[in-house]
Amino acid sequence: MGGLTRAQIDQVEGLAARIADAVAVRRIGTPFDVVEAVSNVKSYGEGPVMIWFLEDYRDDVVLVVRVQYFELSDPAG
Amino acid sequence: MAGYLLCWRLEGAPVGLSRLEACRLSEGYVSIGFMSHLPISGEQPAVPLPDREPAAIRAAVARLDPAALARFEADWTAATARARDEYSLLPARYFVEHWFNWVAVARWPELAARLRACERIVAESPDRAERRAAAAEISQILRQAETTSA
Repeated sequence: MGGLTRAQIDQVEGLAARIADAVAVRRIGTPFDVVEAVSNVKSYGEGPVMIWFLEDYRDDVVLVVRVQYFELSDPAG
Repeated sequence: MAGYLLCWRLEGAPVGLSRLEACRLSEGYVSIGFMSHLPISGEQPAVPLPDREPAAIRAAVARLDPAALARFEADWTAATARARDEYSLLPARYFVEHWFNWVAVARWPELAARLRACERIVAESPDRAERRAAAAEISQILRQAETTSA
């Protein structure tokens, strides 16, 4: 990921892994259906990291197609 | 040009997916070549690129696809609720970035059509390499749309 430090990449990967976790939990008990094999592009942000992703149930993966890293500080953060 | 595609595996039971494992491909990302000619050259945008603020983006969404306004409003409600709960303005920023990029793509009809085509490939192609290339192209489309300020 161009321009990001190792620590920032770790933050991105950590968030992506948790998104995958959340997707998995949401999918528990949902029958596979090829019609809904992939979502449209979704985004989720947490702290300075914003991730754009697809959920691919054919391969059981979350595909991260874009990452934004905000440098601005957050008073609550 | 090459981009990156991060892949996280959902791992679990039959329908599965109760446990996940980060699927690190080549240190977390894999470079994939994608189309060098996106259908954006010579085309005029349907609307100008709006300012990065909710009201301007909403006006652009209304012009591009009135049916998308319900989702815009639902996302705005969720973002403001989260901002209130977390005492943070960041959720509003995520919202703005998401919908700004939605407009940035949707205002170029050919580019938006290509994005949908790539989504279909990711959903339907039996060829994994083709699906991954399409996902990488989505990555490029998002970046290109945002940087095209015409």
